[in-house]
Amino acid sequence: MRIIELDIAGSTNAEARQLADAADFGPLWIRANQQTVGRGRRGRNWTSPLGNLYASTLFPTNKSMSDLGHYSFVAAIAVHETLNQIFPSGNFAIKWPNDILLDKAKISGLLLETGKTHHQSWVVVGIGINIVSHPADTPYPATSLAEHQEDVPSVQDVMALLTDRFSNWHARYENQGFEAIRSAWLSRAADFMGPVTVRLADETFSGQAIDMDEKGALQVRLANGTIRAVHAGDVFLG
Amino acid sequence: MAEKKKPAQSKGSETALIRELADILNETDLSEIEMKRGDLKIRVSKHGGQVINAVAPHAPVTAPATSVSAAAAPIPTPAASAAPADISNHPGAVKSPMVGTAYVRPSPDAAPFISEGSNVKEGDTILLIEAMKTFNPITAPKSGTITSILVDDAQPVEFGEVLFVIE
Repeated sequence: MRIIELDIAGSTNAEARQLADAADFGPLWIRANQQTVGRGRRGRNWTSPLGNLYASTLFPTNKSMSDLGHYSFVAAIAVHETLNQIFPSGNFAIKWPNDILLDKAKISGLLLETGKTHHQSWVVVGIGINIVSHPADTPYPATSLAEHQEDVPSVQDVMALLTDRFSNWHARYENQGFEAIRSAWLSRAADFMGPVTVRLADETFSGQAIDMDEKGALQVRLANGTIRAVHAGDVFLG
Repeated sequence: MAEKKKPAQSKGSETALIRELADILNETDLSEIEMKRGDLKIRVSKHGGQVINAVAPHAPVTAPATSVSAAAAPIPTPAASAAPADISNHPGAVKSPMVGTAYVRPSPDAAPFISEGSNVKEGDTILLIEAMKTFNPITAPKSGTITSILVDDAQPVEFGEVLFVIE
């Protein structure tokens, strides 16, 4: 696997997209020691000091656009497994669709961007993992490995595990389809099924998270029994 | 059969729009049609006592955040008076390939990708659709002029919903 290592990047997602624009579709990884404009969903800042992992993988795909969200879950499982191997006694869970929580605080966030350039569709999966530090003033509580373990692995060690685990789950998805990913995701998200509040751009509602469908949408049962499929939005426990 | 409720209170273009939707309903086997344009949302249904229901959903800039009758629903752009019945059959109509949330700007504080009347090249990004925290660009299928944009920023979209028209 090709891995590009940078000292500083604007964001590793932006670097990966630039390669795709120049007709290099990977598969590859880009990792930066620091990001100057690390981003989360909808332009939210992702603080990116030294010592944490900031990486993006770029790969070509032939899937239809409506299936590209599946990679969100492929990546979430890979990160979850990576963290579990580093810290086997950690209480990790996945929050829909792809945040990884440690003791209910966010330790990793993912942002996927897709595109089609030079007649080729591609996917960029951006992954941030808090190893040595985490921001204090986030809307959702954050944590880092260092908050739970005295000895934390190097970024390089985490990266090696992550690229290996991602390759494994990526291959499983391509060979076995989304059902294999869906069941693996559900088993890791078990803690998260139950009462949730969903915040969309123009409304907020509460219900019981009960399942995830074949597209990856979270199924939430409302008090009146209606089941709503959530395709985008922020989901909070409780 | 569809019929109009209190048509006299509707402004001309909305009445015409509801009339056209009702006509489509009558000409087809559909039992219900719902369309959104800007802040205006209209549902025409053959079932139930109230067969026509038009509301303006939450729209902080141009309308109060309450449901109001069709008569009070604002028309945010001149394009809203174009014939909506023809939009999905329009040769330049670009439909959503997926369910998700549409964004007309790359981030909340950025300028929109394009605006109505913009000239675009094939492959230019017109908007983004997010699902499962995956952001997918919807691009211009050909070079031309964007004559209508039918979605607002952060608006949920369904599969097959017309997103914009390019001519």
